[in-house]
Amino acid sequence: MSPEGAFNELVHEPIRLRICGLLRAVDELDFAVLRDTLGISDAALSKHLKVLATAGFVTSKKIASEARADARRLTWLRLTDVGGDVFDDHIRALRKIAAGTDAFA
Amino acid sequence: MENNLSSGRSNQQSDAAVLLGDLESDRAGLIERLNEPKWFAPTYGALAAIFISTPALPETFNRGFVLTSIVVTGVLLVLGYQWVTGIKLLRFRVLEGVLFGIAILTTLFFFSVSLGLAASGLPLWIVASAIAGFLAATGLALLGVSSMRERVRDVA
Repeated sequence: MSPEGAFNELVHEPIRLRICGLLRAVDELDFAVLRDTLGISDAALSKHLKVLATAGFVTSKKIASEARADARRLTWLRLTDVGGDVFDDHIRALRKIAAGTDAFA
Repeated sequence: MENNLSSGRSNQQSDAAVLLGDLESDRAGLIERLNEPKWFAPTYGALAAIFISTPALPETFNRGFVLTSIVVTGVLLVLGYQWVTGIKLLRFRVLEGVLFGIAILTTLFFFSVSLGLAASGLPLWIVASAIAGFLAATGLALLGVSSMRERVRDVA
């Protein structure tokens, strides 16, 4: 963790930034809630989650749901400790930029 | 490489502010979701009231079955809340732990009052004890949900 903040290009993509922001606020979040909050399709969300998962920032847990007639699964998503630290560092960097106190020219 | 911050310092500042604003707006949406299940706190209160009322049951009644059902229903209540909101807040903060502890102690207190009333031959007064327990448990559950909302709001 960097007290000065550390800009992360992978997290900075707007949808991925919002994904991390939503997951940072909770312990686990349902895939459908994430999709509906972001207003994107399942496929688009899955693509971004795959990028974050490959980087080790997000994990997922699928649970079969008997409540669903088609036996689809519920997917619970969680930000990893590494993902949380990277996101927090990135937010600190963004805040410095927003406040005009950053080192970016 | 993706970089959606414009060139120029003031543009970068405003772009960063917009991104931070989006994150806040998303968190507000999560808080709304946590508020949606209005049934959670009163149902929790009702479970407490049922538990407090059990001394009024006839001796022949299977109280163990009732108590087990209350505990199972309590667990299902929490799972139902998570399923409806799509949000899991698994870790208790100190405040939430304290509220949970107070809820347990308050329910046990009113349960002991009910036991005393039943032993004193005043079973109808158990209703008053159950109502008081319902109000206390519901109020504490509402405080617990409020604390969870604050936790979501206060994220860095």
